[in-house]
Amino acid sequence: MPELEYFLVAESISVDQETNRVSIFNVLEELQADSLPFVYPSLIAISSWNLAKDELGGDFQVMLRVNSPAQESPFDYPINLSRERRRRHRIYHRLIGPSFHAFGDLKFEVLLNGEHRASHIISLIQSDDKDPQG
Amino acid sequence: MSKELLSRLGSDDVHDSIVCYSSPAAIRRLLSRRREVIDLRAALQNGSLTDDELRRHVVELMHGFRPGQRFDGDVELAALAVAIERRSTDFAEEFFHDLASLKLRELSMSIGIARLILHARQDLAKNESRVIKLGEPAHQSKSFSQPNGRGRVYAMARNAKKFKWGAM
Amino acid sequence: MFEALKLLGSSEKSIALQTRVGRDIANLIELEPGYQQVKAYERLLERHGAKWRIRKPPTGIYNCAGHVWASRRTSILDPREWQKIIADDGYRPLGDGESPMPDDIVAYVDRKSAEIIHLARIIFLADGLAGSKLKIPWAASKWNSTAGETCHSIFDAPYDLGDHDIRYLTDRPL
Repeated sequence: MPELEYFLVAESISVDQETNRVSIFNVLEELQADSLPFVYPSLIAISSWNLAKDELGGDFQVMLRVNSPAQESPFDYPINLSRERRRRHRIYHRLIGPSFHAFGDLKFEVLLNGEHRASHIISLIQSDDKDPQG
Repeated sequence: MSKELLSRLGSDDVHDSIVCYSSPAAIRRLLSRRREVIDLRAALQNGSLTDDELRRHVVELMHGFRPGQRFDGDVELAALAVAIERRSTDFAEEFFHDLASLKLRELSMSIGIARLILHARQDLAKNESRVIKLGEPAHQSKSFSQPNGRGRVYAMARNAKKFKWGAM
Repeated sequence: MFEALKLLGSSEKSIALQTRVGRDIANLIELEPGYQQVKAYERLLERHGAKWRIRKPPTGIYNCAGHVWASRRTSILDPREWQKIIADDGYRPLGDGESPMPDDIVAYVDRKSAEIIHLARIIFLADGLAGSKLKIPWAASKWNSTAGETCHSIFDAPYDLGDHDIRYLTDRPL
């Protein structure tokens, strides 16, 4: 199965057209809000996958799973890797205007063909309370 | 300026530099060291030449194609391929896939080089994206076990293709 | 892109060609040279060919490897196919102290990539400098699949010998 190189959630990214290098800006770990619901303009989940030679052109699906403390069940956003024979695939899930209805940990998971591969947690905290856990 | 840069790819000097080489690999190496190719890459990098201009130039160049005759623009097309070999834009993807899939001996040099480059581009990371707007219906997760090879995801992937690369 | 060309289908032509042990060799029968190729070859002759002997004017069909290994019937463009032939057909590099003979092969090798960039058959050994016992091999070259054929001293080739090595291949037993 393709190997996950990295998985991050950040504010924005940029891909240089000439060099194809990706730059990731403002990795999100903590968000502060005065009150709820809290709407964030946009965030982007980036996962980078390396395929072995015999996996090139294979059928693989990457799923971004968003677990929010306010939601009973998480939301899933699948995307299939292109069948092009490329060793490395970068997957970007851009969420525009996500709204959060509870303070606590937002857990972003990335799955490959249904199997959990990595998580990234963003803590949503109230502005005047730095440590809700006490 | 950009027209001049592009026309230099087919100059006598470029033709002369490869006249005694026959393998696509050797020709690709030689072309990549040519000033004309380096200048073109620089122009693409600094934005003074765009993919749209490249596309128009290729269309115009191909008007000279005659079945059964060596294509006069073969070297120019090969040099262009080398100039954009690491470029990760829609134009470059389309250019290499379409050129490499042709089976025409009228342009055997550029096709041979395109096939080589396409193979080498396996190392170039593929960027794929999906844009999810607030309120868009998403799968509410149940236990997910099987890969979903087709269906809804492809509709979203097509939307994602409209994404302009650069700051997202 | 290239939509109109896709509709033409395939114009590629090749022949059945194999190594001695039966491995297929990819090849392409190239078209006759166009105006640009003929002019480029004429400029090559002006720059390098003062001492060359011209055997044939510019012609298509075959390149250097096709000249050496396919009797001028087709072009063998991929150096990986050349290596197949070298391995399967019993070629070996000349040993120390061995001298090239007619019908051995001279290979021009790019030093950086270690890749063969041109092949030619040695056709005779010319006398060297006065008083020297060393003979100078002459080869018959087809520079690429649109060039003519010329006979030349192996040291009189259009490659910078600072960046390229001259090597010999032979099928003669040790």
